[in-house]
Amino acid sequence: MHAAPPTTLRLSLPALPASESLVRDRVRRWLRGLHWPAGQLGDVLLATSEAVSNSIEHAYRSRVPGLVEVEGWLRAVANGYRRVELTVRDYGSWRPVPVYEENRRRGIPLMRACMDEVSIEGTDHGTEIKLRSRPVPPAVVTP
Amino acid sequence: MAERSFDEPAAEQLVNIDRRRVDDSIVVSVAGEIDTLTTPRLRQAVGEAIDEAAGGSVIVDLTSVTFLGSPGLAALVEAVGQAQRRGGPLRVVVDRSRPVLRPIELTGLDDVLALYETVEEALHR
Repeated sequence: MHAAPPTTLRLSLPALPASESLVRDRVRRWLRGLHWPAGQLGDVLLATSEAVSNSIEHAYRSRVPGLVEVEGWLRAVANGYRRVELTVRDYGSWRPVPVYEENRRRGIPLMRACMDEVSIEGTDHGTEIKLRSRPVPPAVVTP
Repeated sequence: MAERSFDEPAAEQLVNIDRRRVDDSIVVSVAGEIDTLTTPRLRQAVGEAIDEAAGGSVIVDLTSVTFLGSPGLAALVEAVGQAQRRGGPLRVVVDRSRPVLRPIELTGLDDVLALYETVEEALHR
């Protein structure tokens, strides 16, 4: 008898470059626990990593690093299909996405290509990126 | 080892980069994860290889890379321009590995980067 895998994820890390791989590790473990298909798992990791990278590169550029928070939820879709929703949040002052920058020029299209839906909301108090994955089939758990 | 405020991985734990000369070419082999933390090391290693090749070809072998994000993609595009100014080609080796090929294809960089499936193929073209 195994405990049911967690359906939510909550992380809070310093908005520093080293945090990006820590977030990937935790999200990877979470999705593996949920028996996420490998290809879709890779896409969620890529999109989440890009969102965290965005927080790290821009939100705290000229101040002491703050926090980047990642929350994830498992959502049921029709016919046993499932998806995950993740929110990546920082508390830096928002600035327009600098389209001339090489990284961001590709980071946001990458997030959009990997997810069903991406929304980016910037306020004076921070930036929140919402990622909604593609639906995946019900988990097939082999005994 | 310096004290860290939390249990963070060091850049050298996430990526391993080797450089070797094969005839007139420099082969840069990258293993591990290329993200915001480790991209500066990739940029430096490839930059040094371009200098060392002095117009010869530079081959960046990504077959052992397990994650490739947009900072790494940007570094590869910059390196292509840098190599062109030195008069040598920059070739990138990727096999069918999804974590590497996926971000390259999604951003259309398969049309920008000279991609090869093996180092041998990149050396002898």
